[in-house]
Amino acid sequence: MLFSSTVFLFLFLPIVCVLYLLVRKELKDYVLLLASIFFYAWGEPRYVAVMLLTIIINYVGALWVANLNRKKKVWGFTLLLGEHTKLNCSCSAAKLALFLTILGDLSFLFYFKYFNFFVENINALFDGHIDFIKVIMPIGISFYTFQAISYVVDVYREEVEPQRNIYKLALYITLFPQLVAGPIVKYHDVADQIENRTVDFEKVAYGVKRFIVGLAKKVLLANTLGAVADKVFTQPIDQLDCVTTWLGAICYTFQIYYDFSGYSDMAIGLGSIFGFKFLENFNYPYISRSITEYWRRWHISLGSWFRDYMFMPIMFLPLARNTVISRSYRWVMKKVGSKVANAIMTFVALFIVWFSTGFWHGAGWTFIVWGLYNGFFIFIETLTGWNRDRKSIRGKALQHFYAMLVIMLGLVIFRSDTMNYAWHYLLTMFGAERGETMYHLIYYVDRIEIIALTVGIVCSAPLCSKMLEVEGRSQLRIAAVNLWLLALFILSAASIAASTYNPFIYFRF
Amino acid sequence: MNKKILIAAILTFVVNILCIPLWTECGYGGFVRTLFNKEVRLEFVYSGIVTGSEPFHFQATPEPSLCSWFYHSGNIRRAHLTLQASGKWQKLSVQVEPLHDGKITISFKGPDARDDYGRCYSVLTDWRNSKINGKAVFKESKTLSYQKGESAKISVKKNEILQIEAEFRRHRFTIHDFIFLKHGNLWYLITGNLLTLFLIYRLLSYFAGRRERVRLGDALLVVTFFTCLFIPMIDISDEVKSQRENRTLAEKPTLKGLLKGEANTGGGYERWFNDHFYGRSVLIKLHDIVRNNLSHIIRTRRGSYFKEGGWDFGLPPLVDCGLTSFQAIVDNLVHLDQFCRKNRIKLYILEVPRKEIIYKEFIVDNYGFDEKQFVKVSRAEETIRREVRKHHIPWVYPYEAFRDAARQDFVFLKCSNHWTDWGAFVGYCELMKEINKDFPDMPIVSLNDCRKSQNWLYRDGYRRDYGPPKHLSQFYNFSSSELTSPTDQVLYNYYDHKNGKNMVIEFGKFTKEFTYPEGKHKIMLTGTSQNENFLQFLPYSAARTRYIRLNFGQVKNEDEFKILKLYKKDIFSFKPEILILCIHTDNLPKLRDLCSPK
Repeated sequence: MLFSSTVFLFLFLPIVCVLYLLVRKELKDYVLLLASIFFYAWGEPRYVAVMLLTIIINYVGALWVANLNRKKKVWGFTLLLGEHTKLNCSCSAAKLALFLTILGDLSFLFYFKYFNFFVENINALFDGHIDFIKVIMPIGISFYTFQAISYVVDVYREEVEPQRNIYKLALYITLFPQLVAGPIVKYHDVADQIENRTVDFEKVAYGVKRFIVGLAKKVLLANTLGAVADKVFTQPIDQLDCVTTWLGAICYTFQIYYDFSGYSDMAIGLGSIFGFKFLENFNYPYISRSITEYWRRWHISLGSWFRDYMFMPIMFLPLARNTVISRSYRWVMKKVGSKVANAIMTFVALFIVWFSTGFWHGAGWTFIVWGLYNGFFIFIETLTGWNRDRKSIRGKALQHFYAMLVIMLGLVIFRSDTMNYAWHYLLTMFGAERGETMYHLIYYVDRIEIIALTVGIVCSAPLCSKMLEVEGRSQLRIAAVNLWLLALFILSAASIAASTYNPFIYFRF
Repeated sequence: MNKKILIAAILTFVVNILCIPLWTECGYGGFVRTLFNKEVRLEFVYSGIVTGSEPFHFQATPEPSLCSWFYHSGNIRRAHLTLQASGKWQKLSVQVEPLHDGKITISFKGPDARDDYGRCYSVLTDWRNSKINGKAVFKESKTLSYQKGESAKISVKKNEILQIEAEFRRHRFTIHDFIFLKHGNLWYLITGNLLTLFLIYRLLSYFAGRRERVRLGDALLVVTFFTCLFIPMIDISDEVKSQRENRTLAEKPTLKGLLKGEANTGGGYERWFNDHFYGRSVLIKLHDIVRNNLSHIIRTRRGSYFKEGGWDFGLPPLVDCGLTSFQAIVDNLVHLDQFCRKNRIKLYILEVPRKEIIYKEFIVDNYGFDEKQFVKVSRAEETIRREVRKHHIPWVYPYEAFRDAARQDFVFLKCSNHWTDWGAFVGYCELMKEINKDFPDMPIVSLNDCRKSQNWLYRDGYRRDYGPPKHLSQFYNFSSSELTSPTDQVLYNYYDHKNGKNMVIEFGKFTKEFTYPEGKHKIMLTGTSQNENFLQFLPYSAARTRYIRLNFGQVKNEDEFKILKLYKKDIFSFKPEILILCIHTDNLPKLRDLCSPK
């Protein structure tokens, strides 16, 4: 079920809201849980089992990890009395429990998302003929798997208590506002809210506003620009020229932003209606002046997930006692100095993180290359200090131009079906190639697309960032903003009713 | 608590009052229908002394939609005027001028609402003060349906003007109509009211316990937002077919599928809800108004409508056929030819050129499509023709003739990919040239044999009705007013054979059989709606012509051209001497399944 579908908007959402409002406080979680499972089962009922299995694995795994952690503490006390072997033993056991739980989570992800990719590549590489039935990926598996991992790691790190009520853990993993396309809510961010939250009018009003903004972003901007981008990117490469390819790249750049940030806005809004407060997922990424900054502003929940659960642990590996990595690191440091050793370590960590980021987005070489492409620029920026703020306007403009160019070219790779297509597309963008058959620009864009693009560019800057704030605003201003939001909602609803073009890009990941 | 119940009861009553518009139309089916069909209908049936095959037997202002029904025993011409009604009484004034002496029946009715199988719904409308030439037919308010109309039969003389007056409105639910409730609706009413009462009571309890500061602007937004969310489920329509969209609406899937965990059930419900929720047409209209006012070109997945000029064209054609597909098409045609030869039938293929190819310079100059693409596609299609001709199968592709003809008159309707009568005539002549090589005794109709008339309406469809422009268009989901441009008012030339009275037509479900005593040989024509105009001429060359319309919804779109599988029996029973396969270029890929046994 898509947030921008009629059945969600006009059937599921109002019914769930009324039920949520009507039932007693202690039943609210169950209403949400049932609604979330129904929401997920709507499209693919079979895969509910996979999600439920993930919940059970993580429930049991986290309790196991917590239990071993507790023993560690007891043994830690005995350590003072000199029995340190038991401590090492329990540490390893907790790690093993964590490892096994994560392995369980990732095995589902790998099977459902990457099995086809691996077999196809093995066939291609070794000219093999392994017959296989294509595995269909359950919607949102990448998102809920990462959430589940976040939970069990948080328990291992003792940042949160393990959830002893399986229904509440199930609610965290399946919560429908963020189930299929994020944001990836970390357990420690919402643990308290799952246990105890309140719904008040202010939250509902904010949620409604945020939802409308998200819906309008998705339906009015992303879909309109997406139609242009799709038209360009589905055209054979010999029918594209320089101007058209740039048009396609620009439209796609804004489509993907408004598509995904619109979805995140809707998720945050829905969360607010049900009393949750999810962290922001986007912070005007297109005003960034470096790729490092861009990734601090773009898909923040994913970026911070990789930072917390992958990048930092890798960076801290050399600090561990007597491991192969720490010994190798020290050896390298002796040979080439700490600065170079740090750079190598950063490079290795960035490579792993960005390879994983790319691969997380999709089982395809274009995604992997896109991930490494981003990692490469971040590494270069870190080395050269390019990501530091310039003071002069010219310097800032240059930085901004650089960032947008790199982002846009990266997204061309991201959008292309094959690396070959991406390569020729990029060559055409820079005039190195030109197709034989061309269409006039009017074939791709009309007035409505130009308006959407202009609005898209303007709104990607934080000009209206405080529009939804109500504190200290006059009633008249609030009413004007609300009227505007209402008009946006009606236009979006009209567009949903009329338009059949409604794919959500981030459902692929 | 008592106070809350009292307020809840009052609010429930208010909700009932607000819901009255939903109950303003009801059917005889025994339950209250909440159809929002705001149409009423006035129908004229003219019969009597009819000579020849005059295209119009009466004129009326405002102009009605005309349908012509031919019978062996004579002709009955029928027309209906469909009026948009509202909840208020509106006045109607129509002038009818018969062009012959005869009798005219004037019926005041409800709208003709039908499902996909042609079954009628009963939808009521109110009429009163109806007069014909000042003479009252009925004065008091009458609730009428399509099945139960109020008629007046009058003898008329040629050119005598009839003045019809009446007042009408959408049927308003009255106490009298409560009689229908006893058939089961009472339970709907009671259940609905109890649920409403409970809901309001709970909401009141919920908000009574709150002590928050609520901003008025925000409160209004939240209330309006949630009200808007609830409106579409107020009335899920039970329409089966959308006239406006010219398609069957999605059916409601069974609950069993959902319980069994079938993957498509959710999608099925979604499609069903998408097609049936209340307010859908209003939202679509709103979207169209906004979009059309902002755009120069209105695009759909299938093509583009150009506001300046009023033309629509399909998307630039893209080559979809690989070499294997070419071969499959050729093989299928050869197979069909062998089948025909075995059964002593001569096969002819008539390919209708694409509108976009015929008007390519016009499109390139005005709308910026690239000509090279057309050339590229044309080359690919030419390969198929060449390969088929190598097997001595006559393939008529009247491209040059159409290009020449397009300089004289419209060969295609501006807002449809269908031929005009002139276009059909050109195609007919080209085909007859080829047929005459094998059957020299077959007469060819000339334009002198036809009576010419002009109309801005489109005459097309199975029964050769006249309809407003765009009813055939891919933009049928837009209302005419949104697409109107002055150039839409083109007068097309229509041709009717002067010997129309000698032609006997029998209508089947998706077939038509023509018997013409002055013709020779038996022809079977297979084609799509695109070729309907062809029948203005072809049946006058043959003694008997059987036309099989392939796209009448009898099979799925992709199976339309499985001719041998679907119509072998028809071929054997009719035993034609000539089989004409009339196909539009766009449909060429479908020929891959021409002889498919599955």
